[in-house]
Amino acid sequence: MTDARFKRLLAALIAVTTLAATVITFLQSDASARDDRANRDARRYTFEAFGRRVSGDARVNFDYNRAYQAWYELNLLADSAEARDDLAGAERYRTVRDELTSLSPLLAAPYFDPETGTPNVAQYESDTYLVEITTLTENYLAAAVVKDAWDAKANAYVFHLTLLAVALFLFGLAATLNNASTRWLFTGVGSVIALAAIGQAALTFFQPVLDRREQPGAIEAYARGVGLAYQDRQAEALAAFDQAIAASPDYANAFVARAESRGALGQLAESAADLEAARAHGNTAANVAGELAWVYYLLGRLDEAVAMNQTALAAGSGDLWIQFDLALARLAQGDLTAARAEYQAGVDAAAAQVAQATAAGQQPPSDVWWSLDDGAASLADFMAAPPPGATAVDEAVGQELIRLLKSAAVGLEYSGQVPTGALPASLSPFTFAVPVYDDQGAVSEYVEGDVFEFGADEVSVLFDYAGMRDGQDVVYKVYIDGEEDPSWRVIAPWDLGPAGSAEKSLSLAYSDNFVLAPGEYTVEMYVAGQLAQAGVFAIVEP
Amino acid sequence: MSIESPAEKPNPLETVVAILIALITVTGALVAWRASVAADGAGDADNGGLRAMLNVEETRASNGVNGYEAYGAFVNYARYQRLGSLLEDDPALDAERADANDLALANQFLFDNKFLNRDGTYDLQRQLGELWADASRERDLNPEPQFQEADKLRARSNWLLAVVAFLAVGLVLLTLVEAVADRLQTVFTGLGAVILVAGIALALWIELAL
Repeated sequence: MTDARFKRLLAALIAVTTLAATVITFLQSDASARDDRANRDARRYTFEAFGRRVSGDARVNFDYNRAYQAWYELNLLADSAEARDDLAGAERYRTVRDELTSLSPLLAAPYFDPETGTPNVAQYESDTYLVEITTLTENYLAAAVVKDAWDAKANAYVFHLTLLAVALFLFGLAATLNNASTRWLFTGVGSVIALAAIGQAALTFFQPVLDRREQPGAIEAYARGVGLAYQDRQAEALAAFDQAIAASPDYANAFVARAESRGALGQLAESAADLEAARAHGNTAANVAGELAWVYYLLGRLDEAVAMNQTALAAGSGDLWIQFDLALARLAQGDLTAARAEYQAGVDAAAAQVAQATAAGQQPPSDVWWSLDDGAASLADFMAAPPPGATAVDEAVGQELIRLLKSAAVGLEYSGQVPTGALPASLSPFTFAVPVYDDQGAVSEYVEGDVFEFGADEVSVLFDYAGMRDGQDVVYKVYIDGEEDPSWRVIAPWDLGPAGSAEKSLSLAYSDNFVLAPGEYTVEMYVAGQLAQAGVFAIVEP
Repeated sequence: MSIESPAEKPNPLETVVAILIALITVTGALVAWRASVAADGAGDADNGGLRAMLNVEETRASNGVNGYEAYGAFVNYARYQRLGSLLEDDPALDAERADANDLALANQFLFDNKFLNRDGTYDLQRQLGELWADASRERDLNPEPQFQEADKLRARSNWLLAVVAFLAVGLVLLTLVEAVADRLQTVFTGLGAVILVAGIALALWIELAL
């Protein structure tokens, strides 16, 4: 080829490469603009969700803490007046109470039933702002995904432009060289680089950017489902999540939410499948893995439960509840040594969190106590009803581990230390009784039992003790149907001497209206941070 | 890039092509500059819109909290005021009536009386509206026009860059004039010129109309 023809060819190559670079520059600019726009949308949704939540909270707080509380107080006063035979007073309170219902939508249908006097706060919250905020949050997540995708495209185009610049440089060099083989080498390499860049740019261009906001009904159905699940209308929530997934088959959050609803409805196998799908669609968060491990445990898939708990822990969250779930799965496998080690690791991690917070002059995170209590509750459930395929565990071993967790929770909460050593006192098993008072207001007798009729306004816990020391910290905790009612918690120094008999009263007997609610009551007593005794009684349904 | 000619006598087509290449290059640079200015303006408008959005949500949150606080005080006022009026008929309960009226009075100071309706209810929406109007005098609470402006400028920037790509096609044609057969040289030159003129017209239309 003559020099003139070579230069003409080179000019054509440079021109075509320049044209390609111009087109890719346009595509890069377009991707960058879409990236900017998605970023703006994401920030906008965040601001909106924040504002709606604050104003929604303010509204619901007013409706519940002001309007409903006023209604409730007046209702209580009316009942008290009636109990005192003050019928005119009761009528007055009821008149004002009924007039207040016009001041808040929470006190009207469909949120309020005057017969029961109970508002459906969950439905009200859901209708007022929860669904809206969920929609905004999901829009934010969708916009963030779109932003990431266009950002990746824009960056890829920049790389392609850099390659084209290299190709143009090689073409330019080739034009200055006299050696035929060298200039053909430069031209050939430049052409290959240019072709590769153009090909890659074409692939990038055709790569789809999925925007969940453009999948009709997906986010709306998901948000509706979240609102229904919040109201514990799980079957309806399930249907809404089905719609969301039908509209957006890779909707990981909808799979997680549907798994929760299915779990609540007892559909454990389906729940596990949904959580697996959520992980397959990119939600590899520790909490999802932890939830999946728990469902595996409930299904008796113990090896998978252990492996998934380890995956969740490896995700780096350091959540104590996952650690205790791992210990429980080990226990269910029959590996007592490993289970003990995992429980101890959890207690040590809890102690480390408390020590770290204390050293930083901060309050320890309250989820430490929650996780320890939750671990103990799960263990108690396991002892009562192990999952299918689990190895039976000796009752004494189970109680020892429960005591370890519960004592650690109380010890860390009140002294910042995990209690060690033997229990410094001995307590007899609790006896429960309803006290009977004489005319002078003194207790004339105790009617003992562990099941009491509805209407009891006081139950006494009776026990004998020895080895106690005045001034020693004593904590009482009361669980109603497995959940602690913090209003019953008592923390006080012991002042009844080293040995004797004691009575601890559960009552609000100074109230005209109070009666113990129906349910199973578990009373626990801690001495020096250690669980010293526990007992159970029940109040039957009216 | 120079246009070589094997002939010793100057070829007028070469001169035309050289001028067209120079014009198309300068035009492309100018259009790219305008695209960059538009993109920069889009970013500024986005930021302005987001500032206004933040103002909106901050105002909404603040108004909600303050409005419902006032409404809560009104609920207490209404409760005690009504209770006091119901106690009026019974002289034996004068002390209770006085207490109820005092408590109503104590709560009356916590909300603005001008939002009371004639029927004794409280116009919370009017209060929220007034709070919003007050805030809008002090700060920008309207992000939409700025977001629209940002979208408009972003579209303008993209279209201008498309014009640059279009002009690049003209540049390629003019560059290839020397490489093609003689009878096509005029066609390529003509097409290059048409693209230059169309590109300028398009760029002007985008600048003025979008």
